[in-house]
Amino acid sequence: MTALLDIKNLHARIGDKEILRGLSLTINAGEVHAIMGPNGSGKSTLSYILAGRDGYEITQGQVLFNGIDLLEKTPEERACLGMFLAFQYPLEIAGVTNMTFLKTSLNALRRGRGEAEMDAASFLRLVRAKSAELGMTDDMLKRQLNVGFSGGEKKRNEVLQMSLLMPTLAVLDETDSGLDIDALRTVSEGVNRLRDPSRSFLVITHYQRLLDHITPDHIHVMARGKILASGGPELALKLEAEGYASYNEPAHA
Amino acid sequence: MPVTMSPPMPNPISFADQIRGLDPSSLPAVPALEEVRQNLRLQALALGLPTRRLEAWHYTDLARLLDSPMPVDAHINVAVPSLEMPHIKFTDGDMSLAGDIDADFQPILEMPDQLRDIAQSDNSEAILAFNLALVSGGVHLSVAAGAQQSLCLAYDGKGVQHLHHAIHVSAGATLTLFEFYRGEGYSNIVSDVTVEAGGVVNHVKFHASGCAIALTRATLGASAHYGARHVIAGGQIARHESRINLDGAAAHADLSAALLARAGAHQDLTSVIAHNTADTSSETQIRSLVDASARAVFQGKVVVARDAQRVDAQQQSRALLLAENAEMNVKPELEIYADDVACAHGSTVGALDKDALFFLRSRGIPEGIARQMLVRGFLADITETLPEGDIAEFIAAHLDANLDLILNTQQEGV
Repeated sequence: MTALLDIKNLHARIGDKEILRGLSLTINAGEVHAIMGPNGSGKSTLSYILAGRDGYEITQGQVLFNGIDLLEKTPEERACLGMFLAFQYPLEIAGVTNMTFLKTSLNALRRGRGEAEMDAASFLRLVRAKSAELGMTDDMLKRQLNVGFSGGEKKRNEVLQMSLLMPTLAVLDETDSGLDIDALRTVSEGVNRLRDPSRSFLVITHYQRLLDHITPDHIHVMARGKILASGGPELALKLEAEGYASYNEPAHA
Repeated sequence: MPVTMSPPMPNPISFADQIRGLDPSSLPAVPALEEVRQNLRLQALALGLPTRRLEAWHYTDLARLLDSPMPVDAHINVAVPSLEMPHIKFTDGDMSLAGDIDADFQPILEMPDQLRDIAQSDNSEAILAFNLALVSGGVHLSVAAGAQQSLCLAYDGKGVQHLHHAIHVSAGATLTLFEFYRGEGYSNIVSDVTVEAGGVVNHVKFHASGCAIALTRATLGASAHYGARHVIAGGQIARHESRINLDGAAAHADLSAALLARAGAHQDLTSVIAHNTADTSSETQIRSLVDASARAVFQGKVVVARDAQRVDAQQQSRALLLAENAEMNVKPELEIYADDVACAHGSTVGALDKDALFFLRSRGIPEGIARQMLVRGFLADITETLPEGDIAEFIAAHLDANLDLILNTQQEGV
């Protein structure tokens, strides 16, 4: 069986600074993986490289998505293939309403996948239903995209996008940051509703607390640009108790 | 709607030479004014077209801009809109009227006394002197107290025309004035607008193509309102200047403009808002989109007179540069002689936000569409506040065509 995501010995740098130093990771369909690690370990870089952001030089390795070379694809092509990144800091875009954005995005994706665009009435029904599940008001759909949204509202909006676009791999980059307990529960429930044998998740987080709500199948510890340890849910509890100190040795030691 | 591209074609004689060569005797005669006009013409020629040596024209060296035989830009040929309002078209100085105007209306050339007053009161500026010496048409319009009037003025042609409008809006009256600039010629247009107490003027402009030097001088009485929405979508050389005198208490001016300077264009938005009385207010919002080898200028001056307390004046200019060699010149000026005022100005100049672009693309939106969304969003503060109705629909449709032209050109360069 072809893995959904297969990262092999990935090396990447920004300018002279090497961020990823031989990272390998395999995610199969339906699995939930979590990556934990200290600040500066390269977690966010990994998520941006998967989504196709500019500015990273890949010096070695490859990333296969359903057997397709992901690094050759533009960000929009990756989205059409089923890749989704929930941003740690969702962007505010003035002058574009959330509703217009969501509709443009969904229909672009459908076009990219060779499907017919969704008509306005069906889209409205769909977005209303999905946003209600996340406790979002109509007002949040009419407002400009993320402009004036609280941290929690932005993260709900990310999960709303995810539930409309129905990716096959969702990367959640510190989705728990900036969330209070209630928002964390709502957002986690939104993610859990999307769990499916055909859909996989890569959850990037500093803390155990998100993993109390989204239970991963596999946990990886990332430090200094690669994965240093992998295990089951028990690994998160061990990290919570002992910290990252044992993984934080300087690279040149 | 029919949209065709005109191929670039050099204009054999520069506009500057055409302006200098114009003689009042070759223009429609105003018998009572022949001597005044001849004298004004000599004065205008002595002053010369404005150059960068003049502070007010520092960023727009009109003499130089108009001096070279100019290639006509490959503009979008915008059809004259069919709007539900009377419509006066000026083509190379010839005037034609379609529809009925309820308000008191006369061609300006039939009002020699009024023209003479204007000519004798103010001719120290070359642009005014040329305008009055070479005036070949314009409207005299007076909207009666409490009445409502809409009027479209369209400018077209390939040559040079100087027009002067004198517009009076009586107490409690409302005028919607839609000016539409098209064609390939040069228009010098001066509009004097007086608004009495409680009167409202909605002054919408859409500049599709051609060169224009337009000056609006508005004087507002108590609680009068002057709202300008200027969309400078095309045009190789454009200077749209507003001088607004807030003379009556609680008078309000609201000036919003979007500039879309395509490759090779020079677009200038200049405003002087004088708060001459207490409790007056103004808001200026400028959005400039500047492509490669183009230049946009915003000069915004706010003057608050000594006794004009509790004035609120806000001004904001934001520019989006689409290429390395795009140029934006911003000159905000505040001259405040009163002590209890709330005046602020802000200015930003930047490129398209790469992170925002990536965010949209990561949601499956192709790069071209993502760029369009960001640019439209940038202009939304201006374009989304047009008075609702057929003017707004007309502008929205043609703005889209102009944006496509800018963004497609832009993508080829990336």
